[in-house]
Parts: sequence; C-alpha cells; structure tokens
Amino acid sequence: MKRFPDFWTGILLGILGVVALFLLWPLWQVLHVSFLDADTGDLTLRYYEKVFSHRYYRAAIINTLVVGVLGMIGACLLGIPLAYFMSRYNVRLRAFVSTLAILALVSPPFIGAYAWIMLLGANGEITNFLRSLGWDPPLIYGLPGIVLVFSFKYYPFVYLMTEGALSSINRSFEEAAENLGYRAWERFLYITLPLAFPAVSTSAILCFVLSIADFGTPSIIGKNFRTLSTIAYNQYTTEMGGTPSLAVTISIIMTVVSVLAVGLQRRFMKRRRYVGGIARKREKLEPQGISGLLLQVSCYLIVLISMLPNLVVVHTSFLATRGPVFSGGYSLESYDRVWREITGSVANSFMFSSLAVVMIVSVSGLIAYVIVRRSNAWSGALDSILMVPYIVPGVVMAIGFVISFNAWPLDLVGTMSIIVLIVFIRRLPYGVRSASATLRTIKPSVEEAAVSLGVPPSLVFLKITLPLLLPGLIAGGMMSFITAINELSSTLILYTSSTMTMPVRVYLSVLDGEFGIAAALSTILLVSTAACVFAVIKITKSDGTSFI
Amino acid sequence: MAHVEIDQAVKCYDAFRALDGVSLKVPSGNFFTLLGPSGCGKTTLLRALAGFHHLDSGDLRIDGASLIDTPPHQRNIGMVFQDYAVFPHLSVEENVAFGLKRQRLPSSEFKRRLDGILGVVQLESLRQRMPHELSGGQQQRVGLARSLVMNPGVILMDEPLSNLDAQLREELRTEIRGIQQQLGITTIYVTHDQEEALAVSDLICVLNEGQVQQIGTPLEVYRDPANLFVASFVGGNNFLEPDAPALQAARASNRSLSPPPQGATATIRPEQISLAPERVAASDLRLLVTLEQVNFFGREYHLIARTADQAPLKIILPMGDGTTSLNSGQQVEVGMNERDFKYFENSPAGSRIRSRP
Repeated sequence: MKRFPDFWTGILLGILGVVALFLLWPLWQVLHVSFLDADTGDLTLRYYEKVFSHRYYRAAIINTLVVGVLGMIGACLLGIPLAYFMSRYNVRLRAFVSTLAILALVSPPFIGAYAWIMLLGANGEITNFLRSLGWDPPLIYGLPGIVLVFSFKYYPFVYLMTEGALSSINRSFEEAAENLGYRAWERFLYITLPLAFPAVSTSAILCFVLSIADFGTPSIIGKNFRTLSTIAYNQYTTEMGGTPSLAVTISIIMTVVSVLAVGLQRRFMKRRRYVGGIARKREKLEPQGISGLLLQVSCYLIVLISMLPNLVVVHTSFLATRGPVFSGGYSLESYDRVWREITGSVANSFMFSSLAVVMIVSVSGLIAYVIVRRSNAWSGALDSILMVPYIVPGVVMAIGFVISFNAWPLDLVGTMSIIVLIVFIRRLPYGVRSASATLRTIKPSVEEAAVSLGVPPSLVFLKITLPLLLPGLIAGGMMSFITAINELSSTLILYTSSTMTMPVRVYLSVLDGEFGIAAALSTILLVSTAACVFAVIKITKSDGTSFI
Repeated sequence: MAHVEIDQAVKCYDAFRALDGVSLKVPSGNFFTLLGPSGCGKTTLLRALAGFHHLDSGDLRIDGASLIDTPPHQRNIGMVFQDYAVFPHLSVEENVAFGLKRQRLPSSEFKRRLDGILGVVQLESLRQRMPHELSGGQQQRVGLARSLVMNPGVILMDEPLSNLDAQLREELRTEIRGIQQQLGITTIYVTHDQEEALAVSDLICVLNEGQVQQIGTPLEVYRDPANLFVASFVGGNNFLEPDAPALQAARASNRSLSPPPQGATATIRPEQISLAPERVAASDLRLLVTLEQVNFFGREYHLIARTADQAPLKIILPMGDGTTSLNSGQQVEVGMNERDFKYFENSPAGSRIRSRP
C-alpha cells in the first residue's frame, strides 16, 4: 500500500509539469512580452498605451464586446425557447431536432460565415432571388452577419445546457408554487427560470467567450468590421520576424475580457448553490392546436436554419467549376482537385488530430483519476488550470507558443510537433472532463472491493477502473477529435506549407475565391465530424449533453 | 377548518385502477391518515385533492362545494411534500412568505402571520438561511410553515417524514400532531408506516389496490380489523389454520370451547400469546412450540417459534416474564385465549367472520 500514493504523486507531478510547460509558460511569455519594450528590453506600458489610445484598436475592443454580447443574446434567444419547448412538450421528431442542433454545434466554425455569404452576400442565392423580385435586401457583411453566424452557431450550447437544467428541476417545486396560488406564468418567472439560471448563464458566458475568440467568422464576413482576434492575427503577420509586442498586447486584452466574463459569472453563481436531491421528473405535455403546431414548427425552423450553411456547403461541393468559377451543372471536379492538389492538408489534418487525440486519451484517464480519486490541493489546482484552455483564445495560445518555443532546447516553430502539441493542450480539457464525469459515476467501493480481494492497487486501476472508464475515454477522445480537426485560430498562426491543415486550406481558399475547393474540403470535415458525433451518441447513449 | 368528502373517486392508468371507487368523509379538524402499501392509491387520492391529478369520475367536496372544476392554485388546500419542495433559491423566510406575498396583506398583518408561523415551527433563528444550509428536518419545517401560513381549510401531507431518519421522524411526527391540535386544522396525511399512522391519527383509512379496506380510529383498526389485509398490514399478527392437527388437538382438550368457523383463518396478535407458566395454565389453549429465535429489543422480547404443525408464531413478551432464561432451540408451552382470536374467510377478500356459531 505504501508505494501506491507515490505512484499517483509522480503522475500528478508529471502532469503538472507538462501543463506548466505547454500551457502556463506560453501564457506567461505572452504576458511578459506585452510589458517588455522590444527595442530596449525594459519594462514598459507603451503597448497598452498605444492600444488604448489608438482609435483603430479602441474600435476593435468595442467591436469585440459588441460581437460577444450580441452573439450571446442571439444564441439565448434561439436556445432558451427551444430548450423550454423540448423539455416541456412532446415535440415530434425530437431526436431529429437534437441531432441537428448537435451537428450545427460541431460543424467547422467558419463554414457558417462563407455559406451565409453564398446565401445573403453580394452575389448570394437569396440576395439574387430577392433582387429578381425587385427588392434590394441589405447585405450580410459586417456586424449583422457576424451576429447571425454566432447566434446560429452557438445556440446549441444554450439549448443543450438549459434543456438539461429544465428537465432536471424537481417537479415538486412547481407543484408547491401552484399549491400556494401561483399561476403558470408566475411559476415560470419565480421558480423555473431562477432555478435554470445557473445553466442559462453558464452557457451564455460560454457563447460570449467563444464569440470574442472566434477568428474565422469576423475575418471572412466582417469586411471592415474588425475584432480583437482579427487584428491580433493581422498584427502578428505584420510583426512577423520581429517581436510581436502589439499582437501579444491585444491577446492579453482578449484574454482578460474572457477571464473577467467567466469570473463574474462564477462569482455571481457562487451564492446560488442549489441542493439536488431526489428529482421527480415532470411528464411532457402534448402540443395541442394551433399554438402546439407553431411551437413545433419554430423548433424545426431553428435547427433547420442552423443546418442551412452545412447544406449549402455540401451542395456547393458538387457543383461543376472551371477554376474558381462555377460553370453550371454538377460534377465531382472539386473533389478531384482536392485529390490531385491538396491531399497533403487532408492527410495532415487526420494525422495531427489523431496524434493529439492519442495523447489526450492516454493522459486524460490518469488526470481524471488524480482529480476525482486523489483530491488534494495540487489536484484541485490542476482541475482549475484545465479550465484555462476553454477561456484563452486560440490566437493567443498560438502566439504564446511561437514566442516560447522558438529556440533551443525547444525549437518547435514550423514543425509538426508544435501543431500537435497546441491541439493537445487546447483539447485536453474535453478528454479530462469526459473521463472524470465517467469516473464520478464509478463507485470507489468497486475498487475497494478489488483491493480487499487481494488485487494489488496498481492492477486495480488497469483491471477495474480502466475498463469501466473506457467508454468515457473514447467519448472524450471523439470529442477532442471533432474539435481538433476543426481547429483554425491557432493553426493559422503556426502552419507552414508542409504542415497545412484542412481548416487552414479552407480559409485560404475562401480568401482566394476558390469556393469549390473550400466546399469539398469542408464537406470532408463535416462528414468526419458527423461520423464522430454518431459514435459519441452510440457510446454514451446520451441525448447530446456530452457535447458541452 | 373544513370537512372533506370524497365520493366514488375513480382514477385509472391504462388498465391499472389506482383509485377504484373510493368514498370517505373527513370531519372538520380531524387528523385523517390514508394508510396502505405503495401503489395502493393513497398518493393518487391526495394529489387529486390538491388538483395535480384529474379523477376519471367521482367528486371531491370541501364544506359541500365541489372542487372538480377549481384549478389547483385556487383550491386553498395546503400541501406538504415528501421531498420537501423547499425552493432552493429562496431563503427560509422567502420560502414561507412565498404564497403569502400574493395576498397583498397590510404589512403589519403580513409580518404578524409570518413571525407567528415561524414561531410555531421553531424556525425564527434560521429565517435568513438558505435551504442547502438546513437539515432534512428543518427543510420539512419550512415546507410545513409555508403551507400553514396560508391558513388553508385543509392541509395535505404526502409522506412528509419518509426521507428522515428514524429518531427525527418520531420527533417531528409528535410535533406535527401537536401543531395540528393547536391550530385545529383538518389534515389528510399519507403514510405507508402503520406505526406512524397509529401514533398520530384521529381516524385511519386503510387502502389497498385502490379500495377502502377500513376506516376507523387507530384502536378500532388495530383491535377490530375488518379483513385479512387490515389484520396483516396494521400491527404484527399471527395467521393460524384452526384445522391443523396440533391446534385441533389443543382445542379438543378444552371441552368448553365451541368449534371454530369452517375453513377460516384465525389471527392472534403476538402480544396476546403468553409464556409465563401461571398465565399459560389459565389459558383456553395450550400449545407446545419450538423457539427458533429469541430477539431482545430493550423493553421487550420478540420470539419466533414454530408449532408442531410447522406454522410460524411471533410472540412478544415484556421483560421479566421468565424471559431471561429463554434460548433458541428450546421447547416451551404457550397459552392463547379464544377471545383474542379473530376469524377471517379464507378468500382473496378475507372478510371478517363476526357471527360465531
């Protein structure tokens, strides 16, 4: 029994080391460089002064906040009603609705932006159709487009988390309120909504953080509407070669905004810990009459519109092209060009993501075990540190990697390793979360029983814990894979011609106007992602809550 | 204060008849307990009164006025929940004031009622606490205060103590009974715990399979069960076949006994069987049994014995009756009196046979 704690202490120390090196060190570097004068090497506030005094940067800060808040509100306006209808009514085609919502959630992030351009842009299908009717509709570029894309991209977070919360509210609470004389809408206002509020606010803040971190959408659809992530990237490319002081300073500001948002929400929620207990679930109502019909139609509309970009992309990928121009009719030309010209990036994407996922799966079981079973101050710290990748935007992480690992002993810039490592560290929390959620459902008594039967503790992990943990590990791995293969914001900064990935290629193709290739690549991404989604649903037998 | 009438209540879930024509009357100010095993329909009946279920047919009346078309939030019936249902986002005080707030009372009256009820359930010192800072017993006091403060005509309690541990359960049930007597409020109480029902009720209604088995005071239900179900569900009991050889032989040795009803089941309470030699000698029936278990419960002994007919026999003896020398495996003679036997038809209904030949 004596050696056992040492084994886990060793694991914990090793993991803390890896996290410190590949997560905390780059972030520290980013912070450090932003306060360091690039010419003299002295401590300075010069870059912060410049960012806060210059109109170009100030506008970007305000734009970022506006995009974050509006994206969050949009996602809530779609997600909360959908969650309410789905949790209270027997909506027909329920599985269809939740599957589409999940697919919208995991589809490649920038597909939405350019698919909406193809529908509502200057030469979009819907725009042209409306023009033929004699009406010149407003175009989608700039703020409205970004908010539209974010609302339809991130509402599934709000929907899935709120639905989970609404369904798990003990039925007795509402019955008690009804017994005390409260009418239906009063019960919703005073009981249901406050009880669901922790979940609603958590998902809303998540939408805010993701909206301000997103790079692809504002850069494709934003035109002259710049956000911090787009100017950080632009700044980084113009400072390339020198010290990226301004890019780093902007990164710090972005990170601070995210951290503040999450911190405020957590602080606010701390006073609202609701005791669980025996949950009596409520029965779902049958939707009736006209209002029942409208209610169901609005559910379908939300998920269908959010799936629209994916359908547009798949459709576009089968259009015949001559170079960048669509020549009318259908063909497999775009796939043929992918096959002939850019198999490299397809192979890279699968290889990098798979390598990162193998690493994630192999350590997340150990990390989960340390966090759940050996909880102490250090493992608690590890648990909190693993929140960091959720909050820090990819652009920031990538810049941190570049300035940290560009010299001996870790000269990684331009290599495959740096991309695998950043994907690993950014997606590790998905694996750990899935594994620790599963581990919490495995009673420690099962392990204790094995120990009491004479199995040495080290074998207990292998023979008992690990097999029970496996579904959680696999689901976590799939989740990591989905997000890894769609990663753009960090890889765009780290790629070279030999380490280009599919999302980077899609992004560059869109900028070049090569929509056929972009669509074909996006379809490949979409199909691989969807395959993983179905695998996760099969493995976890869940309704989609494992995706958040 | 109000009286409640339930008239031919029927509620079906597909083929399952949860309530199969239940009729009963609860007098004003009564502590009325619905007692039965799980699935007997007691909770369904309670929730129908609260308005959370609709009856398929039948009527519910308070003070003669039908409730059927009144929505739940206008019934003015209090309800205390098994899982407390204390709103987790509101403090103790806010929970208790939750219903009161809608009545737009003058603030002095509001405060008087709030303070009053918090005093009754002894929660004054905890009024600012949040539910997660309360024990289960304290949470249920909040639930109780929250419904009592509305001055409802009737209060319904759905197994309010079943999530508490044994000692607290006994303490709180005494307190609930005390508050009920103090306020004189008509109370309908659901439980599956027969001991709890006997301890607190004015009247007990034993339910099984959606039908009323017996309504009576705790003493009537215990002493005078209407059928085999009540005899077996309320209190411990022994079930004997009077035709079995050993019992028949014991009867035969006492000429003064009239023969038992044909094909009946006889019951006798464990505490009505005696073991002390002088009492056995004075008994109508004497029987040799083998002790299988001797269990000490503090104030009494519980014995499990077997007759020569292989029928199990539960015996409860007070301390002292020569009990300290008892051991399992021992053969002892026990005594029973004919007046303690109840006879029931040996049928599914198991009706009581009262007229003796």
